[in-house]
Amino acid sequence: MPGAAVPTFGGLVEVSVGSATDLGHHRRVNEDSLLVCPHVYVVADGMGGHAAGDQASAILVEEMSRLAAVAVEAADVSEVLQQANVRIRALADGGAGTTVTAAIGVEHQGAPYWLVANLGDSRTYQLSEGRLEQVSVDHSVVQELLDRGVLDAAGARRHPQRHVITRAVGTPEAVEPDYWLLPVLDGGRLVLCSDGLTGEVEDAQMADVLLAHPDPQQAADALVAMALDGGGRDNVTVVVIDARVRDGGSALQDTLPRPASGAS
Amino acid sequence: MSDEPTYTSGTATALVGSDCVLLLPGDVGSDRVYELWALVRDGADLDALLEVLVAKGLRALGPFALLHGRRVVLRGSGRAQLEPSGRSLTGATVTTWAEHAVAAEEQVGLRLGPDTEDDGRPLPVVSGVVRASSVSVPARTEAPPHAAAEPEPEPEPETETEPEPEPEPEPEPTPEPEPTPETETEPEPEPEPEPEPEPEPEPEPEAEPEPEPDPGEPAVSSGPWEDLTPASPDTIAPDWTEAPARTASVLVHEVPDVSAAPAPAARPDPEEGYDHLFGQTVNRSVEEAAVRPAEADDEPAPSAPVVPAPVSPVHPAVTDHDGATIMRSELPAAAGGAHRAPAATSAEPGAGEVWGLLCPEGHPNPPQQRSCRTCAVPLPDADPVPVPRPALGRLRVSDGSQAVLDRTVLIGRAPTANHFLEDGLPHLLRVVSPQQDISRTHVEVRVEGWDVLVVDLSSNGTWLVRPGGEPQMLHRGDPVLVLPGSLLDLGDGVTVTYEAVAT
Repeated sequence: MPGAAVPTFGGLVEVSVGSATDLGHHRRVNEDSLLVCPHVYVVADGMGGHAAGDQASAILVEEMSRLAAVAVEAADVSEVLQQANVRIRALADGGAGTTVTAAIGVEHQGAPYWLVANLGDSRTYQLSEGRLEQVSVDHSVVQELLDRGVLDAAGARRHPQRHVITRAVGTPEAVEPDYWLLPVLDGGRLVLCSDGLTGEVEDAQMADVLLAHPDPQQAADALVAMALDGGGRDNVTVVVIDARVRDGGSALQDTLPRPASGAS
Repeated sequence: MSDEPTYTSGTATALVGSDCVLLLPGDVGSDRVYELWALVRDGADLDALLEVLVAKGLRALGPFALLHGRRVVLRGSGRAQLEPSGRSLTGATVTTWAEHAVAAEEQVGLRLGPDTEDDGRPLPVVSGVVRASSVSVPARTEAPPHAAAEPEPEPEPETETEPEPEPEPEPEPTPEPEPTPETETEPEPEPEPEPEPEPEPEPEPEAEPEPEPDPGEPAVSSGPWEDLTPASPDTIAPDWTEAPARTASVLVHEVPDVSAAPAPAARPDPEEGYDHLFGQTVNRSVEEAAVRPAEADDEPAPSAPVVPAPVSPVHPAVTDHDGATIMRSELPAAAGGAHRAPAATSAEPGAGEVWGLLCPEGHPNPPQQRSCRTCAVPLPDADPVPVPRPALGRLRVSDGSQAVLDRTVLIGRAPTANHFLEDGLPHLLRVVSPQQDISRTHVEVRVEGWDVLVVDLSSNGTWLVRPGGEPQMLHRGDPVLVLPGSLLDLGDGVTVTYEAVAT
């Protein structure tokens, strides 16, 4: 995909995107799907037997693409996910589902924001000022154990249930995505990925690759290659989104320390 | 160390009874002081005291510090210092009030208001009402607390025999409340009487303000972040409630010799709270189950037959690490289990709802309200129900922008809203800071129940000016209760006023 800069969010932001996906070394079907359209970016990791997983993630991405046409808020996203849930549950053999991690460009009080939505263990990261930060929080058994302090990060990578998720689209349970609203940072970069990447590559390695590749397409390709080198046990999908804010985003600079003698 | 209470003089009002000390702000009217003094003097139980304290509604309730028997109840600036353990307890981080059990060997120093007014000279007080900044109550050296220290003038004919009438089952590790089979999963060697009200499931902070006859804790909470838990019951509650099932499945898959895993049998009765299962206890039970398979025989047999299920083999999808993502509901252990608890726990307030009372016209009111805030009609004497959360006021920024306090508001140069459910997304207020003095996300104004709390999140700090008060610098990360008329100064000339709105 070409990384041509596309103005979006009512002209407030220019976005360059790169994306890549791979079957991995051990799968016969790529059950991941991705969406890159003007201001809606999605990675979905399908699951379920009899090739239903790829249908599930494809349905999800198709539904999410409808968001490109509307001014979006969280309720719109929830509605679209509900629709996808109904359709996925109606698939012939049942038992299919999909994760979703999405970043949608929205305007909030005249300022550009990323509305991040997440269900399951695909992830959204943010790279700004050289630091990579995980934005989304997995819906997974391992994350719950981490939250309770029962497990540490090293243990999480080896845990036998590290692929067991607790929320998804396509299940009988209510579709309850978590949301984040992140101000679009001038020069900031978002990374959306399936667990085929994060299962093989540590966050620190990811950060190195992202910093080494200013071009988003090259960054996406390099991350997928790294996951394949690391074992490639699962399908791996990456979307890299670079943003430039039109007015330079003066509100988004670092906070400066206050002068010593209260000169505010 | 004195064996009777001492106080240091100050501006607060201290009511000292034989087994109860209550510190109130000095501006509380004397009618109210007399009313409360009668209860303190006569040894009223804790419920009765709290009922009178909140009678005017939670919003009208100022800060206080209360020691009753060995329970400490704190609100707002009320705090307690325990010695020799050195524990500091505070009410400042809690929306309603914080309640703690205190061990008998602890000396309890109660304090209300600023530390600065303390002149440091303790004077004895046995019983009565004094102007004080702090009151210190010695450790209990023997069981009958005030038998010795009872040369007091008070004629207390009937109440002096009160040997703790309160129903408080939890403080001491008394063995009798749990003769149940669950004893064996929890060695419970914990020395401290109450393992700190950590992440209790309790999704209703101010759910049961006072009409509860049970020993239930109306709002036991210990820290700002725990308090977040009830704030988003939708995410948290279902997870907590399903925890036991999850624990069981963890046990099954972690234990090498499955037949030696009796732990799931110890799954507690879902009715009685899972508190002891959380935190380190989970950890312990998992590890111990895995480490000492041979001990299966020293378990009381009766519990074993109850659950033959755990003998199910390890699920292939779990052992085969090919990276296939699956839903938890596909795991055999979860399949039959109580997965994703029935959200239909009848009436829990959803997002955008709070516990309250509706007047006949349908106006929402706080649970303690006696007559409607809007139309003054007397309210029915009913139990609180989830009602739509009304706006608790409005924030007005010095640049002219404003936000309605019907949900949390984040203020800063470019505020970030983290991890919210769809209907819980906060309002974001952007302010301009030419000096870049104001942080991107500088301060959070949080709506919890019927209260408004502010939390500084900035690197340069936020000043709070309460109505008629001195400016105070907020402690980063600590929620502070504010009332209408309060002003926040973010720096760079930006101020935010919290205004009440006529309803």
